[in-house]
Amino acid sequence: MHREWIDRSAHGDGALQRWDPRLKVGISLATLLIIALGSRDPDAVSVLRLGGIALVLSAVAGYGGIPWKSLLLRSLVVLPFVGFVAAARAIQIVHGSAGGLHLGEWTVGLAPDGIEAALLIIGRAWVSVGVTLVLVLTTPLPAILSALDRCHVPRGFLETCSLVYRYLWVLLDEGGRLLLARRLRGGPVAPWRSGGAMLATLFVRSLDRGHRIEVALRLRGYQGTLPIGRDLNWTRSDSARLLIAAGVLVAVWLAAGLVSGGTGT
Amino acid sequence: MTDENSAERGPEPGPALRAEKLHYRYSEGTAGLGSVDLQIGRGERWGIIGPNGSGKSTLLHHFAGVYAAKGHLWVLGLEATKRNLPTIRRQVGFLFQDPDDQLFLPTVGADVAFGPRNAGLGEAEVEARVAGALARLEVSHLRDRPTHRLSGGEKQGAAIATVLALDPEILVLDEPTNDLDAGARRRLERFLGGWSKTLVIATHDLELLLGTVDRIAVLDGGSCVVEGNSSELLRDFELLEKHGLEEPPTVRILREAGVTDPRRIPDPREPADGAAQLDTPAPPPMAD
Repeated sequence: MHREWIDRSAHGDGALQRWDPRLKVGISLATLLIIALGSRDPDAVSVLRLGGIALVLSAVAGYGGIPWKSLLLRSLVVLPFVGFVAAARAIQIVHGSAGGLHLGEWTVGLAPDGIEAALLIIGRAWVSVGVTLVLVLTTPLPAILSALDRCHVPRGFLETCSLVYRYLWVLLDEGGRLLLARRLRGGPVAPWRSGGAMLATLFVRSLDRGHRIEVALRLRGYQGTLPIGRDLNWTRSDSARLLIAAGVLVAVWLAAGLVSGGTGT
Repeated sequence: MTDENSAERGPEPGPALRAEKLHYRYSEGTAGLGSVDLQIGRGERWGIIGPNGSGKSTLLHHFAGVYAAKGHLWVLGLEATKRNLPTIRRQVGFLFQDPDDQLFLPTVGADVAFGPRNAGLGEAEVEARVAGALARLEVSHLRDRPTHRLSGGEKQGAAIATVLALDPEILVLDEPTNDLDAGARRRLERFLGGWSKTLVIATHDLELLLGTVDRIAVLDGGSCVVEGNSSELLRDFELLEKHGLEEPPTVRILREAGVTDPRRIPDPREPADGAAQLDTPAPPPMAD
């Protein structure tokens, strides 16, 4: 199961698991920011920068003992979601007759640089998911929430995440049991064919459980706040790691500009 | 008296729990409790039994301070009015049927510390309470484990620890043996055996009650229909059957072995003194 793989890895004892969560969250956010701020045009700088980040990510995953094949495959989960955006960028519909597929007065064809732009969109999404996966594969969610709490992310949001994390597993288990019960009695095998009824059942059960959790909270003196995460311990090694990570990210940023002979913007 | 003063007030004289004409109707109109009269003394150990839908869980929710009482309910001498519910909740430890309802935080340690922290205890005291509660349930090793990765028995142990950490005067358990394997069940029985304060267990597992409680109340149709000594009630085959219950396996085996007088069935809590108590006929004298 994907979720068990993620959970076991996050609670493991690898090299990256020992880093302070604030460091890992900070590096991940900085990397995602660099990807997001990159040019949307498929120029050499953007491609090199993305390639550089992908290389660094692979090296970090290797250092942390994360199987790169699994990482690569599981990060493909983003493709169905980003595929539409990429397709929309690659294809253009023009009025009149031009090269392409004619639909009445309209012509559907490839936009100039469309394929390159679409590949860049997919690449950026893919690497972003890879960065996030490396973070969650090496850091338990309570630790990530602690790190975000220290960064003054609103408590309400973090508490909601904490409860969702706790009960997501329960909900998934219940969903799995419902699906199995349907299959054992000859119901549709494909989850999407019985999805509506199953979701409705899960929703009703979740409402019931929500009520019971509320009672449990009240009985133990809930006063409007839930504790978030755990104690964090920033060490000298983490300071050194921070400097190295910042250096690597700046180097990737600048090197891409230098190699392509561009401005590095 | 203000709410604040009420919240600061400790236990008052009187029985641990006293219900008089306690009734409850769910919002959709279904009767949860008809009219319950029951008194449970301090330090007593009670089992609440009855068929499904008899009102066991609803009664337990009232004991724990979930609902304000309609009719009368006194918990440790304090009437269960809306104003007094926060004080009552601090005195009564309630264990839910499903440990997943009880354990709402990502790790066991955080969950066990939740109640003591809300009670305003200092960090050193919270730490001592958490360590003590986990040790008492023999689950200290689970402290840093993610809650969702525990087995059923481990979850149950951790859930009871969340209650114990509040040092309650009354322990109220709703179906505590659900989904427990033999090892977890033995741990639970050991813990219950060592519990010296008031104990109330609602369960279908009458075998558990045979060894852990002294008194039994039978609920049916939202009312308490019989109450009495556990060793007598749990051996009353006809009474149990009348209320949709089944005698504990141990009692059934002994009955089927010919032990017809329930008073002669050995109490499992008493030291075994051989099969002398079994109602087996004496062998006929040997013919010369």
